[in-house]
Amino acid sequence: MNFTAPNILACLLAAAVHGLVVFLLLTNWHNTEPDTVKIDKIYALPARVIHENPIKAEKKRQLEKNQQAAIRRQAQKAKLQADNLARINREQIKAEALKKMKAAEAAQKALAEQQLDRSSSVDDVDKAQLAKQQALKNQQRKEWEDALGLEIEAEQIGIVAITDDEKAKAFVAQIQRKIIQNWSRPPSARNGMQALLRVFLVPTGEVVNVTILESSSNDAFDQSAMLAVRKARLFIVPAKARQFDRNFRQFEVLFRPDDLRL
Amino acid sequence: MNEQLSILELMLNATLVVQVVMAILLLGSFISWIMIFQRFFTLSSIKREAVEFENEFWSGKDLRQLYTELEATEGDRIGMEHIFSAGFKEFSRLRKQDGADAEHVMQNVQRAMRVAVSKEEERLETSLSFLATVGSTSPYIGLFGTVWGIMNSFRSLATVEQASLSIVAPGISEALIATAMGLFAAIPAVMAYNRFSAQVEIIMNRFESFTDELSGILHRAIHA
Repeated sequence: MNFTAPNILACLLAAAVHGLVVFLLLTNWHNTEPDTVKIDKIYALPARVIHENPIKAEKKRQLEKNQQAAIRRQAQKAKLQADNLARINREQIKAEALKKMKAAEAAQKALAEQQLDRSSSVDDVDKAQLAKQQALKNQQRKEWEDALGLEIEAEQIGIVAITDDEKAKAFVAQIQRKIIQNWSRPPSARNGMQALLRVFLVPTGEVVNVTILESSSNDAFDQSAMLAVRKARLFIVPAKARQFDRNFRQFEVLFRPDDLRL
Repeated sequence: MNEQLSILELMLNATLVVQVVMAILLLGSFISWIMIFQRFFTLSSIKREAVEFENEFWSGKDLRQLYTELEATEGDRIGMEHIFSAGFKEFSRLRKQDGADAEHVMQNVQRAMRVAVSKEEERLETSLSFLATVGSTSPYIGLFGTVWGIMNSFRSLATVEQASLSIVAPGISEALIATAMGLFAAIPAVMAYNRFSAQVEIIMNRFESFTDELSGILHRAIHA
């Protein structure tokens, strides 16, 4: 091949074609970055780190106990006094009432008997109604509880939601719960620490990799967060490949000592 | 393995055999693209010049004058000009010799033009065979790289206690790049080969009909 102008031009064009292809491959033009899922409702575990001195705390608890005991004793005393007073009063009243009653008794006897009959029948009706109401209440409560239970169960396997977005949220919630369950916060965790992790899943829901995007600058905390994801090992993820790819092939988890959010 | 397995990284970490396969394919693809552009320029220029020459030839100009003009121009004569000058040179040389048989002259002229045409054909078809080779073999070469890569990644899987997808996945992905490259090299080569061979055919037909026309004209001139 001789080096005439068209030949050189052909070489340059061929180089340009290959350069373009390599460039497209390197710049990831097909955008593999995961979309982030927006979550309104956060399932957070309200756990707080408390710094407490065990001896002091024990003393404080004892003190509180003593105080409560004292209050209770005082209350008992007061009650006793009041009871005594009331008894004396009652006895006086009783004595007076007894006289009166004896006088009235004879006169009221006939009337009282009639009233007694009537009131007993009213009582019966009241009781029946009360029982009915109770039964209704029980039933309602049971229904409500059943519904709640179902909802929780459904949420765990992610089938209660109707739209894709809701579904994604259900799956996210489930993943969060699983991570929380497996997370044991290290003693060195402090409020305000946070570690951002990226989790890589395969379509079966298995965790293939976890990387730290933003470290909390505390190794123990970072490691505990990574261990939590690793121990969770398997998440329930959408069966639809597209949905899985969009939200769950890679996602980020933010770990904080007081809560955990995705 | 960090955020995303980049294709470049996969290629750099591939096994030697797969890397060699990739290198061959890359080279093949590069050369075939050079050929594609070169053929494109050559064929279009030959076609253009053929049209221009035919216009000039049929404009009623004296053939002797046309021939002297062509002889005066610098550089190689390609395409129709080459055929014309080869034929006319033979014709005028034989005409100068007295007592040359007309039939003999025409035979020689036709032979000279046939030689010119076959030379032109050779020129047109250079590197088309290379395109055909790349187009037909590079998928196989790529496939070989892929099979080799997958073979290796499964062999490495056999020694691992706990088999997981993340152990074989990079190997298979890396191996599949070879097939992708093979196809990337083959598809343009095949397309270009088909297109250029069709063009060569058209141009050759044109040359042959021109040869016949010219010999007809010269035949008339000799018997006049």
